Order: sequence, then structure tokens, then C-alpha cells
Amino acid sequence: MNLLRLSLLLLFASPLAAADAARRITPEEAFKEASSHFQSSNFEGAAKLYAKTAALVPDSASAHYNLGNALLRIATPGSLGRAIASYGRAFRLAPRNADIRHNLDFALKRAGEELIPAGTPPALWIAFHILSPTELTALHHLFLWSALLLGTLWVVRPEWRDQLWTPLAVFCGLWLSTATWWGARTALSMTDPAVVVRMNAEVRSGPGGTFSVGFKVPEGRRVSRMGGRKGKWVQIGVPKEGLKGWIDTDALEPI
Amino acid sequence: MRALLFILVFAVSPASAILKVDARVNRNAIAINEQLVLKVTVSGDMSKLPAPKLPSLPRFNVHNAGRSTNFSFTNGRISSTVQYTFVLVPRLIGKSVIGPIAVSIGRERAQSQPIQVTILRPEMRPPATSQPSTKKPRPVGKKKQRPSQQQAKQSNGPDMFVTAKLDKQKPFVNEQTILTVRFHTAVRLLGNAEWTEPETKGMLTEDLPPGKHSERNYKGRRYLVSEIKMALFPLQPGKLEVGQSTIKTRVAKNRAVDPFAADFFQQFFSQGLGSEIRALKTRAIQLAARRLPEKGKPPGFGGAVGKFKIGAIVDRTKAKVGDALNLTVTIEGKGNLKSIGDLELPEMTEFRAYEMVGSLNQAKDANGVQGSKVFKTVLTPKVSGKLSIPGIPFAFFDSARGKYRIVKTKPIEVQVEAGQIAAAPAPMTFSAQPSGGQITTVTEDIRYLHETLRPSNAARWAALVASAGTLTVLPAFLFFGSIGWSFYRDRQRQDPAGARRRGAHGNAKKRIRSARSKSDSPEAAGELTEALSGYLGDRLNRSASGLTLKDAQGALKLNHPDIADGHLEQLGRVWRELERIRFAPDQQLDATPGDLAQSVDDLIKVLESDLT
Repeated sequence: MNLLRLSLLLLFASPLAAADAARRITPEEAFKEASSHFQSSNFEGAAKLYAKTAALVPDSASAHYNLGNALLRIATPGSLGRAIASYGRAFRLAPRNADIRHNLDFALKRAGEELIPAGTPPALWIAFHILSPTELTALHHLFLWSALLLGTLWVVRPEWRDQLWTPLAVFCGLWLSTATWWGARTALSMTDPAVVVRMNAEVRSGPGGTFSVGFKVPEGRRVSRMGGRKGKWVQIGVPKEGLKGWIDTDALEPI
Repeated sequence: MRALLFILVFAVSPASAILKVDARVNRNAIAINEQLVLKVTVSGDMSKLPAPKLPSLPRFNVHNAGRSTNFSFTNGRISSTVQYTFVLVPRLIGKSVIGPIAVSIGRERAQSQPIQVTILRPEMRPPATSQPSTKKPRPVGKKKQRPSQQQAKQSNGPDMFVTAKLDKQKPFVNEQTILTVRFHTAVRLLGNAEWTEPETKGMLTEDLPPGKHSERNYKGRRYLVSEIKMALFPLQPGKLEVGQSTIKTRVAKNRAVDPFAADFFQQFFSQGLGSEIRALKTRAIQLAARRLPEKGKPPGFGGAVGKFKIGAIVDRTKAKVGDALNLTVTIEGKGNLKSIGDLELPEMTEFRAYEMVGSLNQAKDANGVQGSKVFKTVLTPKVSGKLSIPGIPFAFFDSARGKYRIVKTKPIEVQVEAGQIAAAPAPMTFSAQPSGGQITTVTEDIRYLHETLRPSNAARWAALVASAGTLTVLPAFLFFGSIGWSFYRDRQRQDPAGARRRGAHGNAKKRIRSARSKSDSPEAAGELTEALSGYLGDRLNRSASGLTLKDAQGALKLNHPDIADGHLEQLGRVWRELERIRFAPDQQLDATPGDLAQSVDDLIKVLESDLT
């Protein structure tokens, strides 16, 4: 009886497992297939596969960038906002990539914003954002560790102090610089940023449809999530205009 | 030099303005009981065009039927066209020439070609009782009594009178209302009647073409009725007044000349000096302009009142990215078209839209002002695919229904292919600079796909290091530990007696533990003796090797007077016992190494409490 059960299980399970394996697709395959969809102007198909790739390889700036391209080409309501969110994620991962910067700026201009704030020298802005948050954090850690190890040697080996003084000062200086840079970036960037993906999304005075509409935010506008959350409603702030309110979470896509 | 040339070219351009005038009539041959419409079109590349000067037209009564203006503002240049409409009512049968119509501004002068017009007799002989200009021809030979002087005397009606009437007494603000002034005359006029417009405060006015001539019986007298019409548009709510208007005309003083008589010319020329000027005034008319309701006012409502429809076309429905599509939006209908402001296009993310240029085509007839306002713009597709130009809304107040309406154009589908950027034409050129040899941006678009999925090794390492923030604990521990150790080391160096004192108990403990592990009591006693003497030497900062019991007890008593005598005695007992075991190994021993170690440990603890 047990043998019969086992046979039946193998009989039905084997094709199912094979089909499941056939459906599975590696990120590289999905990425390649998405590109072919994009080239044949099937932007919706490309966007789905790029989204899948970006979910599988979240640290791939190219996946987010290509997803932004596909969404921008779809040009349906909401796709501009989602494209900006994708470009934003790509920019956060690879800020030195000129293509990502260009396309993010292009999409933001469509939404009535600019990547580089008016009045800021572009070279200065680019230099300030030349390192990704990850790179900045990694450098901060490396410089801190180096400074601590050199400091340890400086303490325990008084006879080496003459040789240790210069590298210790350099690494302490680098650590303090990266810490200041990281602090400035954190202070000047949006807290928990997201993009509005609904045309003229209504922002209400409280977390619910019964509260009055305070203002409307156009699609593609970057907003900051303030931390307040109640059900499907999240509290946001629009730093440029200094406005605050509650918005349906479906109208936002995190960067 | 190039810039100077550019400035000169633009600076002299107004002097080379083109002024044109064109005159046309709707027909070149008309019957005397019909009307001729003369349209004079003045055009030029300036905003204020001069009015045309009509030549003398003795064979016609001339009525001004208004004008319409078209403006266009393209690439910074203005061009305008003004069309003047005149209605010519023939007075004499025969051939007539409308001479050249001239316009001039500054040194510029233009004139139209002369127009030959033939005024014919009516096809049918008018009845004896009716005026030849009557629209309804009567059968020839059917004799009817005409309004003779004798009949006029028998009737009670005046020789002439004038009435004024509005078609709406309570129009909405901006709604068109028609003022009709009817001039009734039963006597022959010795020239054209002059009409002075009424005063209309708080209203916009538009002249309308004169209405049809007709006949009317009033109080038993037959009158020839001429209509003058004017369109009024109240600008503000509340009570407004259409003032009195005046009609002045010259009539025979003593003798009325029958205007319907066959020997009209003979009568006319034989009257001579027996004429007088009569002035007739209409009554002032009150009207109450209603405010447009706030309820239901749609966003984007610009004040248009009337009845309008909207349509949109593009010059082609297939294009490439970056191509220019000409979008034409036409709003047409009845109402004050001049009140229609700029048209706003809905948000189009997939197109770039340029400035809209509007032009007004206004037509007038006896029913009022109507026409169209045409907006033109250029759209350039930014992306490829099947794109849609959404419906363009236009909001107006439908005065007939008494509510706001929004009409929309139908969405227009455009198939856009991927652009060949080099071949895509620039939709507008704003720069007069020659572009040869320079790179010109034609279309701005997104950059292409990336082909490498995985991040670089450097990025991966950065992510790894960034995620290892907790490892900072290790170097931090090393650093702060080294600092602590450094302090300890320095302290030891600065106070060696204290260092011995602080380490005395620890060193003694180590030796006691060592003694416990010994199996032989004399060996254990030797180890314990060193532990005890070492402890005392460290505590007293003296050499342990030369320390005797007596020295130790004396030094303890000297340095620590409060030490209990019993503890010193205990020290002596333990010391001597250990020496006995060490130096007399053949004796019977009761104590094991553990017992000895315990006794030394207890002694050191007691001393430690006394000496601390």
C-alpha cells in the first residue's frame, strides 16, 4: 500500500516539479529577455521582467535603471512616478553613472522637478553625491577601523609613535571627513523618500477618507514619509513647499 | 558682426511691413430691391491696421456691418487681418463702379481694384402700392392702391417713427442680446438717414448688418421699415441702460414725395429747397443683467457665454519620435468669441506641447455674432508607441439652458515610431544664429538600457564592508583596552611598592594552589613558606628571602599598630609549623599538604583584612 502511494506521488510530483523548474528563470535570463521585449517596443512585458530582476537582484543599479526606462516608455498614468522611483533607486546605488543621472533628471523634469536644485552649481552637487550611501558607509567604517588599529599601536608601542603619527592623523582626518559628509547627506536628504504614483494624489489632513483634502500632489513628485502610519494611510511631508498630510499608501512608491 | 547684421535685419523689418487691401462683392449684378455685400480685407504684419476709406458711392446707401479681426503671433512676428463688411443698398438703376478702396499708414499705401456693379430693375414689376425694395414681388398688372399723400392724410399715423427693442430683458453677464431699432417711414427721404448709436455703459457692443427692409401697416398707413441691429454683451450684473439713439433724416418740407412712385427721380430732383431735417429718438431701455451662477462653475471656466462646440484635428496620425504634429483646436458657436481666452491643453506626458496661437474668425448676421476661434500648436511625441492626444475640454455657460457645460474634443490616436533623431525636424527654431558646424539638440530623450546586471566587485565589497558595522566593536575594544593597559602599566612603574602590595595576595594564592597539588608534605611546606614569606615581603616591601619571623612580626606591628596580637601569634604558629615540617621530615606528620595550604590561606586572609 505504501509502495503504491509512493509510486503515485512520484508519478504526479515529477511533472509538476519539472514544470515549476521550467517556469523558474534566473535573473540574468529575465534581464536578457526584458531587454529583447524593450527592443521590440513591448514595454509592459519588459517592465514586468525588469521588476522581477530588480526584486531578485536588489543591489543591481542596471535592473532599476532599465525598469525606469521601460516604465517611462509605457507612458500610462502612474508609470512616470514609478519610473522616477526606479531611477531614484538606481541613482542611490550608482550615483556616478551619468546615464542614470540623465534619465532621472529627464523624468523629474517631466514631473516638474529637477535633480539638481536651482541655484546649486552642478559640479558641487555631483561631487557631494559622488559616493553612494553604501560606499560612504563602507569608507567610514574602513577609516574608523584603521584609525582605531593605528591608535592601539600608538598606545601599546610608544617606541613606534614617531612612525605612527602621520598615518594616524591622516586616517583620523579621513574618518572625521566621511562622518561629517555622511551626516550632511543624511541631514539634507529626504527621510524615507517615496514618489507619488497617482495623478494629483489627494493629501488629507488625517488618516482616512473622511478628513478634508489639504492639498494635491502631482504624479512624480518626491515626498518624505514622516513615520506616521495608520492602516492604509501614511504621513508624508513635501519639504519644498513645507506641507504635511496623510496619503493613501497605494499612491506612493518608495525609492 | 553677425550679431549686428541680425539686429539690423530685425530693426528694419517693420519698415518693410506688407500692407494689403482686397475688396470683393458677393455679386456683380443685383436688382434694385436687393442688397450688395462688400467685404474689404486689410492685412499686414502689424498689430494696428488702418481703416479703409470708401470712395463716393452715390448709387448706394452704405451701411457698416461690422468687422472681424484675426491676429496671429508666430515666432515673435505679428500678422493681422481685419475684414470690414458693408451692406450696400442700391438707390439708382444702372452701372456703377466701386472705386479703389485705399488704406495707408505712414509711407505705406495700398488700394484695391475697382469693382463694376450693375443695378438692374426688379425682375417683376412691383405693385403700385409697394416700394420697389420689397422682398416679396407682386404679380405684374395687379393694381393696388399705393400709400399716397391723400391716403396719408386720411390715416392717423405719423409720417415717420422709430422703435427700439431688446430680444432679452434679463440676459446673463456676457450673454448676447440683440438691440433692434426699426425706422418706419411713410414719406420719401431726401438722403441717407443717419443713426447715432445709443449710449451703452457696462456693455460691449458689436455692430450687426442691417435687417431686411419690409413694409408694415400701422394705423391705416403703410410704412417702409428699415432695421438696424446691434449686439450687446453686458459686462457686469445689475441694472443697465441702453440709452436713446437718434435717427436724423432729411424730408420734404411741404410736399411729401411718394417713395414708391414710378416718377421717383422726377419728384426727387424737383423738390429743391423745400426740405427739413427730422430727428427721431428711441426710448431708453432698461435691462437687468444676471450674474452667472457660482453653483456648478467648472474649473477652467473663462467667462464664455453662449453655445459652442469644440473640435480638434492633427495634420497626421503617424509620426516618429521628435516629429512635429500640428494640432488645430476650433471652438465655434454663437456668443462673444472675444471673451474666450487662452485654451489650456490637458497634461500630456508623452508629448511636448508648444505655445498655442489663437485667431478669431467672427461673422455677423441679423441673428447676432457667431464664428470661431482657432487655436494652433505643435506637439512633438517624446516616446514611441500608440499615443493618444486626450480630449481637450472647453467650459462655457449655456445661456439657453441656464447651466454650465463642458464640451470636449475626441481623443486622437497617433501611431509614433521610434525616431531617427538625425532626421527628426526641429518643431520650432528660436535662434537666428546659423547652426552650421555646431551640434544642435533636436530631441531630448532618455538614455538607452544597461546590459550588465550584476554590480561591480567594488560595489559588492563596499556593500559587504558597509554591512559589517558591528565589527567596529573589535578595533574599538583593542583601542580602549590598550589605553587601559597603558594606564595600568604606567601606574605600576610609578609606584613599585604599591604594585608589590597590590599583587601580594594574588602571588600568594598562586603558590598556595601549587602547594595543594604537591603529594609530599615537606615539599608543600617549602612552597607554602615561600608563599607566606613572599606575601609578607610584598606587603612590607622587603626582600622575602632574608625575612625572618621576628622581622616580619616586628615590621607588621610597626607599620600596622592596629593588627591583632592573636593574628601575629597565629603567624608565628604557622611559620614555625612549616619550618618544622620542612626541616624535620622524619617526624610523624598529621597534617596533609591540603591542611597546610588551608592554614596558610586562612592566615593570609586574616592578615589581608588587617593590612588593607
